[in-house]
Amino acid sequence: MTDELLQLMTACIDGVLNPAEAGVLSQSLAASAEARATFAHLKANSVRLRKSRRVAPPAGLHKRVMACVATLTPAPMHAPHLQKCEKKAEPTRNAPVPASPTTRKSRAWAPIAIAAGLLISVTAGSFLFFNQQNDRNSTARNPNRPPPATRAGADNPEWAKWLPVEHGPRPSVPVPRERPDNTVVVRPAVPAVTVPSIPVEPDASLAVAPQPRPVRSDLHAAQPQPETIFDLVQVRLPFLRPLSDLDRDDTRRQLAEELARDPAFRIDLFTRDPARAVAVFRDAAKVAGLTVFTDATTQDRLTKRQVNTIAIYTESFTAAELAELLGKLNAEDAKISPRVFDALHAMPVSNADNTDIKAILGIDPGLFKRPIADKEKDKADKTPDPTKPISAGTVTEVIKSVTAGQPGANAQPKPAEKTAMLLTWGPNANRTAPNTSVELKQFLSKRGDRKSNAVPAIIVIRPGNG
Amino acid sequence: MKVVNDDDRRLIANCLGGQRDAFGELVTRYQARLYNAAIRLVDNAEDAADVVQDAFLNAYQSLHTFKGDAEFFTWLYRIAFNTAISLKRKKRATVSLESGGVDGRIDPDDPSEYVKPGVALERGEDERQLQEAMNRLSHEHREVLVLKDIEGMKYEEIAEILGVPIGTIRSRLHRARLELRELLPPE
Repeated sequence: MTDELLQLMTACIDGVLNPAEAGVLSQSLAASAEARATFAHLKANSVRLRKSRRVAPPAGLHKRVMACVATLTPAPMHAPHLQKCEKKAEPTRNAPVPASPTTRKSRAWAPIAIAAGLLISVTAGSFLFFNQQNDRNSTARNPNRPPPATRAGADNPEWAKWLPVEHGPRPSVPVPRERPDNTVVVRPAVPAVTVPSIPVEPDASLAVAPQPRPVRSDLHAAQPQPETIFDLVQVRLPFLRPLSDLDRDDTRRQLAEELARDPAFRIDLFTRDPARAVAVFRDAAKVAGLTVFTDATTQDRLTKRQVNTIAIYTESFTAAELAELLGKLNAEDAKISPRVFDALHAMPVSNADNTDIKAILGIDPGLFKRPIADKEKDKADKTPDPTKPISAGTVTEVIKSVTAGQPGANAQPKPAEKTAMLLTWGPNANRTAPNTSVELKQFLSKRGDRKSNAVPAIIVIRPGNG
Repeated sequence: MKVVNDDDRRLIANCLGGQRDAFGELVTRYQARLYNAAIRLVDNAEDAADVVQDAFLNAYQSLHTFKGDAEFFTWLYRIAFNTAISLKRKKRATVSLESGGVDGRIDPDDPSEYVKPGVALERGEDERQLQEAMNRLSHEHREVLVLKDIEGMKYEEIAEILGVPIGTIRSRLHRARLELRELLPPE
């Protein structure tokens, strides 16, 4: 019994078969008694599991749980998303990491906080205390400083020496008095001279400064932002799988769906041996009917290990066909032990990739342009051109009617040849100049119009750490 | 994927507002289902009770991180499964059928009415055989069979709980069923 049939059986038991698969399974079961017996056995096991007795929890479990909950710190109160969130969102893939058992005990924050507070208050108190002491003792230490002010004021004998001595009526001319050294002399304030304000008329010739631009907060000066709660965050991740996963239909389907999302893709194939990997790729290309034009210089440098990253550019495949090509690559790789390829990484082509491919091909392949759909193009071809005379197509029509019935006259056009170009991608210094590659010219001459549903792909074969 | 239902949402909000009783209500609602699944994973009642207790405590402490974009039970299940795995690793239990260490009977030591001999825990030979076979499955296979056949969950829900892609769930279930077929004779 094949693994595919067994998979259909288990999928049927899981209830996920589509009508086509159900039909295949029915036919297989009808044709084979062994298959029927196996399916019955699998189904019976599933029914036994479903009907198995449900085990009730111990009676005291609820009490145990709530007793432990009572010892825990209550969960934080703020959860506005539980009130606000009404719409469905992407399910989260990552559950919250459960706390370890040690954190179930209540954290001893309070004693630490109290100790910190005591330390700060003692430090501040000592600072103030000693500061005051310094002030009181300052006159003893520095006789040139006046004593601290007291309520006695001028009656304080200590202040006597600091105050000016009265010697009868003031002379008309100030007489210098004896003063102790370093005395601060305070002269009566000179009455301020009021300067009348001069009215200034605005000079019409002066340009008026513009209003200051609004300040844009940068990283350093930004104000704290209000808390933002996202209802839904969509992240696009690259398609990253081991190449060996492409033996599964669902993986190839996912890859095809991914490749259909954007106009052009870069597909990185990681390998330990680029030269061998290129050989394996050529084998797979042969199986897929793909003609690979290999630049001779690149091949030579590859053999001499002077290049480590190879690019294969093709625009002949649709998304599904690309996935199939890579599936065939996986099949060829599986024949070798150990396998040559590791992971496959697919991302839409970036601007940098576009620049690189233009550099190595010597032309702009128009990666981001979608060709006109074939039907629209045919329609455009069939629409009569009003500027052409009616008789312009007569000769062609006559020839067609004459040759109708002859062998080959109505033959379907040959399917377009699938082509790809293999060139050096890195290091940049070892890239082949486009105008020197004969193989590149051949590829470009066979290029033709791209199909509307084709997905240009830059397949980069590179070492893992490159 | 379903979002959390209104009742659960209300209870969770009340619990976050400081009402522990609301959490008690959640425990009452889900403890049986959780215990039934846990006991299939850890083989004995004492460990299953520990798993359930730890799962609820972890859920209580992380309740503020629950986003409400999936069913509360799915989230709780995920915590319980992770707890069961951690417990198994800690105990490094060796299952030996020859020594009769785990014979499929579920007789917890808790002296509650539940375990009175001959009361609630009468298990036929069929159940015993089934549980023995389940015990011999790998942890991964046991998990998916418990969630799919015993709990009746869909692929998407199982993938959400275990944190793996749906394709992996499908292939695990396939291998689990084939393995169980080898361990259980046809009826």
